[in-house]
Amino acid sequence: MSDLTTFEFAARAQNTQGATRRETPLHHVSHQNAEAAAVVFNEVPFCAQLTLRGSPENPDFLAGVEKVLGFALPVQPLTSHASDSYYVFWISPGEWLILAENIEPAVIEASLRAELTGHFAVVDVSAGQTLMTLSGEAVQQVLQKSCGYDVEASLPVGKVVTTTFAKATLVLHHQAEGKYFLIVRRSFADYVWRWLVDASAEYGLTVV
Amino acid sequence: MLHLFCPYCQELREENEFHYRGQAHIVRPKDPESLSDKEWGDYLFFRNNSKGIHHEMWYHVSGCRRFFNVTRNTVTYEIYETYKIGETPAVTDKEETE
Amino acid sequence: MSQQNRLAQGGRIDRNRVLNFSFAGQTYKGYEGDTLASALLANGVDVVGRSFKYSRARGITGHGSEEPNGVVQLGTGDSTVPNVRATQQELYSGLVSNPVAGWPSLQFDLMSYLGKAGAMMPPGFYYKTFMYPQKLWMTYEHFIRKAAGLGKAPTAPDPDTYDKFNQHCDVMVVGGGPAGLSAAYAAAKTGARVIIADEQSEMGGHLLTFEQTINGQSSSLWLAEMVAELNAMSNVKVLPKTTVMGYFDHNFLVAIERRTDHLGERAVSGTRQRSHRIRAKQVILAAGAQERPLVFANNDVPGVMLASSVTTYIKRYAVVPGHNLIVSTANDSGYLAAIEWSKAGRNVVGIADSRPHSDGALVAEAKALGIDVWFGHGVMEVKGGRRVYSASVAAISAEGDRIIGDVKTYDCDTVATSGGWSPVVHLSCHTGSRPVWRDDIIGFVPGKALQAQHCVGSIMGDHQLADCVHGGLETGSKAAAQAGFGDGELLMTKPDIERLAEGKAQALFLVPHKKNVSRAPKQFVDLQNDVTAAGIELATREGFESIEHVKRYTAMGFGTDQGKLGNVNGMAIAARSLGKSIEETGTTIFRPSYTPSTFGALAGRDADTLFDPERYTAIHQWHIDNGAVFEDVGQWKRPWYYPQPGESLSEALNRECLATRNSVGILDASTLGKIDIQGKDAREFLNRVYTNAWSKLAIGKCRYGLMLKEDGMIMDDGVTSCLADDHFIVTTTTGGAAAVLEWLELWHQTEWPELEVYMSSVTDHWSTMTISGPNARKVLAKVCHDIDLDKEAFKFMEWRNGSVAGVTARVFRISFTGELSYEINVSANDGLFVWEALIEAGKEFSITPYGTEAMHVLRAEKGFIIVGQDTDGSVTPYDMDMGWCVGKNKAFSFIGKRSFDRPDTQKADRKQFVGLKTKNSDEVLPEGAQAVWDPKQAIPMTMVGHVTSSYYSAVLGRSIALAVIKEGHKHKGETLYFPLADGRVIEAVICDYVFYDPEGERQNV
Repeated sequence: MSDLTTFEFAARAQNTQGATRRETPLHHVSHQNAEAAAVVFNEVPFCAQLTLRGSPENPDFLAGVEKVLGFALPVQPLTSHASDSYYVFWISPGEWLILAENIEPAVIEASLRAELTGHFAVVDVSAGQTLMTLSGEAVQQVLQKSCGYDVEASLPVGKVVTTTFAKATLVLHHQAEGKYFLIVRRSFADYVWRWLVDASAEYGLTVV
Repeated sequence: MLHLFCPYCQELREENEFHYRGQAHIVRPKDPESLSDKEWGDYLFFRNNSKGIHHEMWYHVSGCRRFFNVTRNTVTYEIYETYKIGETPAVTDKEETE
Repeated sequence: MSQQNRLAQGGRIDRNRVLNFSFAGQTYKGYEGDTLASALLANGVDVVGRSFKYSRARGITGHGSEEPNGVVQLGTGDSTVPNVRATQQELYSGLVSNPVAGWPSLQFDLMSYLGKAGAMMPPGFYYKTFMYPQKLWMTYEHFIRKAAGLGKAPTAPDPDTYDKFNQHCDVMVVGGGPAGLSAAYAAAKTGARVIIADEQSEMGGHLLTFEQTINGQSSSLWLAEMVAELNAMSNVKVLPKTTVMGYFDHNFLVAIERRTDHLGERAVSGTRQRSHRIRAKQVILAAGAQERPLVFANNDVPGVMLASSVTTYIKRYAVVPGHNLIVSTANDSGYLAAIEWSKAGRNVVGIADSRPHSDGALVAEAKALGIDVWFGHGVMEVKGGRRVYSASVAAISAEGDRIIGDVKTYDCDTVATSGGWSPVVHLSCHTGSRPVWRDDIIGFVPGKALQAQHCVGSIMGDHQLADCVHGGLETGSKAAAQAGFGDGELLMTKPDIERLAEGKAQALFLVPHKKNVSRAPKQFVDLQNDVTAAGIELATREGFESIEHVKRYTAMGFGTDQGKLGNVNGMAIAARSLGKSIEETGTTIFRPSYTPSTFGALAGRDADTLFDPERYTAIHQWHIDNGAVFEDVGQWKRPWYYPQPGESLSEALNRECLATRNSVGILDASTLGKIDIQGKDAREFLNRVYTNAWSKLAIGKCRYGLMLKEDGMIMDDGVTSCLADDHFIVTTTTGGAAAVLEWLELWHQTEWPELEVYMSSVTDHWSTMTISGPNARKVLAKVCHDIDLDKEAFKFMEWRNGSVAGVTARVFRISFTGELSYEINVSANDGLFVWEALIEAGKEFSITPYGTEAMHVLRAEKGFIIVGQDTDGSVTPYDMDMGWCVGKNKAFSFIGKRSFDRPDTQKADRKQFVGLKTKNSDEVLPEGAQAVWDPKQAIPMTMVGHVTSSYYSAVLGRSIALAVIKEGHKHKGETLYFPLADGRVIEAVICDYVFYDPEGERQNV
């Protein structure tokens, strides 16, 4: 009949340090995928996420960061930059979020600290938030149910905003046409997930 | 629900992204110990309750987490400007409106 | 007998789809396309309710949101909705409806005896009759409400769901009549994002019942093309069945879309209603106008209807709601009812036109149909109980203020009236704009626009189709230009529309009677609240001169219809009574909601488990699996206690406390706020925001700190640790985390931007687990091999980097229980794993998870405060006997310091933090209990303080309490009394607030 699958988030728990085990914020939920899904969800497990602070008026700081990342920090409000290794999001004047799927946070932090001098800060927040992706033909409607921000017209590909999502706050990024990044604080992840399941119900939700 | 222009994010956002933080331009006295109780009390507790122009501080809590100032008409809720901390307001002399 | 009033042909109904429905227990048939009201009229149902105060029989008078009488309880059981207007409820198969008024039944009405017996119920009746004795008001109110029948709220949770949708647009058009459609069309053609909403089931407004030629074609063709074109444009959202209920600041509007209410009692799929939260750059109000009735004697008898409603029922629903019609009008538009009635083949007795004369096109058409027209006449009174059976028509003066000739009585069953058109000014009122009276159109129009708002069409008194369409196009184009689309020039040609010849309308509100107002039969102004012309005159005689006071005294305009029919008539009558013009008298202001909104639509999905975010720690699932009962701490769900099978709260609590005191307990402390502070000025910053001195805190050390507000009162507390000379980690209370970060940012950004410091929340990044008790070190030693745990090597109030269970960790030796404690912090991804490893390692010591309740008891035994429980924003560190936390020699005058010298903080009789031991050691004081020195004094007693924390301490085998008591520190050893609400008085002795291990040796072992 159909090949509906139940998506077990717990299956993503990883053995990473020998005998140890780690879990994403959504490890405790599971989901029965919809037959016809107009909303597609994914929790990208265990990304490196670091908060970087420094003055965009400080050329040494900008140069140092560029040396580590391989590209210049996006200094214009609400802009982002992506490379093969990194996503960098403008969060606030003098604050960026660095995200990487395949580099350990400690490695990124050490490289930044090695290059930077003066007034700056690097904070590892990898386990404190999680990256969710949302796409599908009804993604726009689901976001309109959830965000007061004008997602329809004011969030072109590449733009990033910190805004409200239902009653939570998250970083919302239009990553590619019709595909969004939602970066959510760990303790709110379950709420955001349950909200998304509810908001997507009429369109059909599939987890990949 | 107000629509506020965040001078740091450089765009309009919905009111529920912000916290209201009271009257703007209240400067902490440099040497609190030298103030009389009355002067200290004025700094601590007394605020304007203006009808019309009001300079007030807001915090973009569900956004860039920056404080900024707003010149708002407390009668019509019209917002004349928003400006960064440390800047001076351009609108200060509008007549009371009704 | 079925549908005896239904015409054989015509109407916008589908005769192939027969729908069964019921009203007041009777079943009927209607058609798809009907409203409940049109279907009831088709079936000849005259009485749909009983009136609020006098309990008179009432029938349907209108056809839209203005309907005051046809208000029903829709549906059954959990999904029932009270106060639904039958005129707006689309019929569906199986619809069940009941009158809201008329308890106990429509046929036999208890209250009508009160009315018919002549019981005086003048305005202010409730105030005058039921105010004293005041405590009985609740009893009276209960009876009145039941009798008045305002509908019943369902008692069980609503089985349907509702949601919210955030919308943004360049141009928002309210109203889908010819003006609104034209405006939306012109705006959309510029490329602007447009939303157009209309409360009716289909777009068209007046054009659904009235035809005129546009560009040589029927207006219904134009309408169909316009709607199709708008629907086809990707930049336009067309929202029928959607009521804009409120117009708020900065062009924010809330519109409620009824998505399934027309399909059945329950939503089969999806949400029943959707609340659109619309932020618009420009708003166009094209909400039209509502016809107002003429006021005359017994004008509430079923069969008296608005002229436009009669037209609508005939044209749109093919229902003629009677056989013999008399029209009473003060303008041309009333003639349309007679024309359509006559064309439908039923008898028009005559048209009473209060004006001396009119040359209008409709007048000519009526005459051509052979209808009698009586100029200079009005319907003065009708007779009838459950239906009109006759109308008295009198010649009235040109001023409309007195009868000047004979009164003739005609048999009829229907009287259609038109007193003119009242623009729907409600939404513009929501923005704070006062409506303005215009003599030329005899109505209030929206006042000065206070937001980016435009008005067009009948809302401005422009009723001619040409004005609506042409004005709509121009306004749409202009609004789009102001939103940044186009230059305001029309992108299309204006269609050719003939102007209809129109006679000048007369300003008539109350048709005079032979008798004066106070003696004539009741002349109703507000049908839903039973407000009469006599009542309004009485109110003005009693001194209520402001129209706002008249409204509140008479209750005019208070019902579910918000005075849509009656308000202007009421204001005109009040104005005349006060000897003022309507302009001078002014109008009351309408507020949201335009029509009643369901709570469901306002709540949306913010209900049940999605009502508020529930925040979980990384270990949450383990707590669930191990039977934890949770407590809400802010948005966090924290384990409160872990009952074993059959255990009560106190049994579980005592077990958890004793296990921690005697062996080892483990607590999930991940919810504590954690702020990472980096920068060379971090120490200086901490010096300024904490009472404590931080200059000398060495790397590897921790210190407890108190944070004050500038008024000197305790705001938050927590332990701060030095990670590096320019790097600290601050912990805050669970509930205070966000506020503290905002507070720190406030001072940094606005006062001391020169300090080089960056703050970031790392609360969620770290999982924090506390192992506490004499065996804590042994447990940790089993899973931590790279930190020297020796008591001298790793002392109390120090922290170390290392690994726990193979996971990188920061271990803090700090204690909130007074026992040997380690707080282990690991990346939250590893939190559950490390927690399980600690549980495993602790097995041989019977490691016991404890919840917040045990945590509270354990810390209270030690006299450690909880900010927000033992403090309430009105206590200083000195009040709490925590002067030891205050760095008195710091160079910078830290936040709150100056306030220690305020007269208030210096006064002698401040409440001070103390312990309490009850005389009866088993008795636990209630938290919040008030203390007095003399329990025998007269009430009100002099209260000297209150209990802030109170528990039974298992380890001490007695109750303990913490309290703030006036001058408590010098009254140690004295007895206080706590008189309780239940009459008991508990005796307790003031003692030191440290109950257990006063020397503090256990945490240092």
